[in-house]
Amino acid sequence: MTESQLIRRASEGDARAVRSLYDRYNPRVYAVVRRIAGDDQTAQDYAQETWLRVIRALPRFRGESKFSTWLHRIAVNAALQARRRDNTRQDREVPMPDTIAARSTTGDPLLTQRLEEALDRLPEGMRRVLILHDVEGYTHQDIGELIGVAPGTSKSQLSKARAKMRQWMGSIHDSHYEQEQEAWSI
Amino acid sequence: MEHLSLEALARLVDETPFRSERQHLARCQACSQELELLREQTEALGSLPDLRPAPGGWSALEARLESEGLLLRSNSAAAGIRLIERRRGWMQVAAALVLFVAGGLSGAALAPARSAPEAGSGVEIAASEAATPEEAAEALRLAAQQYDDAELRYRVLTRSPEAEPPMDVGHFAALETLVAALQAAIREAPGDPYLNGFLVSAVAERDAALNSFFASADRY
Repeated sequence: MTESQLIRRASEGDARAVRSLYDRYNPRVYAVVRRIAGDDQTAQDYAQETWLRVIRALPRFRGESKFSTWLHRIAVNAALQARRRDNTRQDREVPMPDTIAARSTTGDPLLTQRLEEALDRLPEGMRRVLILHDVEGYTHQDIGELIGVAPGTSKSQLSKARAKMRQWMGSIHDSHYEQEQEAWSI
Repeated sequence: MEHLSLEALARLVDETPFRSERQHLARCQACSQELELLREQTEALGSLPDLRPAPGGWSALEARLESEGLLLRSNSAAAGIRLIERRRGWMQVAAALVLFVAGGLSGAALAPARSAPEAGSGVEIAASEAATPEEAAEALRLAAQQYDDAELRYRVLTRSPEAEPPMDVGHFAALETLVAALQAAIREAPGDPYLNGFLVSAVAERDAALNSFFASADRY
């Protein structure tokens, strides 16, 4: 069955078609919402919210973009909105994730783990811009539309986030950088 | 020498440096190296593996989708049920048609003396190939068998495991169609005893179906 047939059947409520779409795309949906959510339980909720929106909106999907692109954008939107809605995130000990990481393309599990932990430590504003730009590949224009900021603000937040990450990952610079970082805030 | 800020270097990962920045990078190995590390970090972020969900997310989603009416029961099962229902309806129509045609033919053949067939009558059509009494008897036997088969099939199809009414709308509609067709045929051949016989049987069966339908409707 082609993807368009699958989508059409899913839009008619065909349980098997919906399940097929879910099986095919949920790993990617989960991956993006998981990074925005910051923990597994919240990510499960965001993923479910994403799929609810997707299935509700399927009858209006006209195939003007790739389904995966359309779905990804809904996932990002759903996660960002949910994040804003229940923005109860506080400074917290970051637990080791329960999720199973796929094999890292960097081939360095330690580096992957440190990046993930550093990502989780970032302030919310920097974090979402860094995830959307450097992890998910969105442009500053896209990010501006998604989170309601000017592209310039997105760029600024990205630079700060990268610098913060770099600082945590281990700077080779002298301590004057660290002093400089202390003054940064979101 | 004053270094470029880490934030400025982070910006230069994917933006063009100003001239002063370019000049600084050309002569500052520390900043060049830091910029290179920032680029590697950015590349590593873009290569982060997907975090995969633990299995089991579907059940919760499925329940939610069903509760919102966004998910129908398994379509194959639904389609199968619809197909069976459609086939059942058509089989009932077919059985009803065979029942009346074969029944009429049998009745006519069994009572030749009661109403002598005329040229072009139903019996002649049914037994048009019969040249001898034996062949006619064989045609009669086949017609009777068809009648019995059809009647049996009809009873199986209309039998309900529970309190299903013995007649359904499809059956009634088929009888209505049959009655209308016979009435039209009789307008062409008003004196045809077989057509009239069929019509009487069909009307009786239709009325019985209607009574049964109303009786069952009263029960509900």
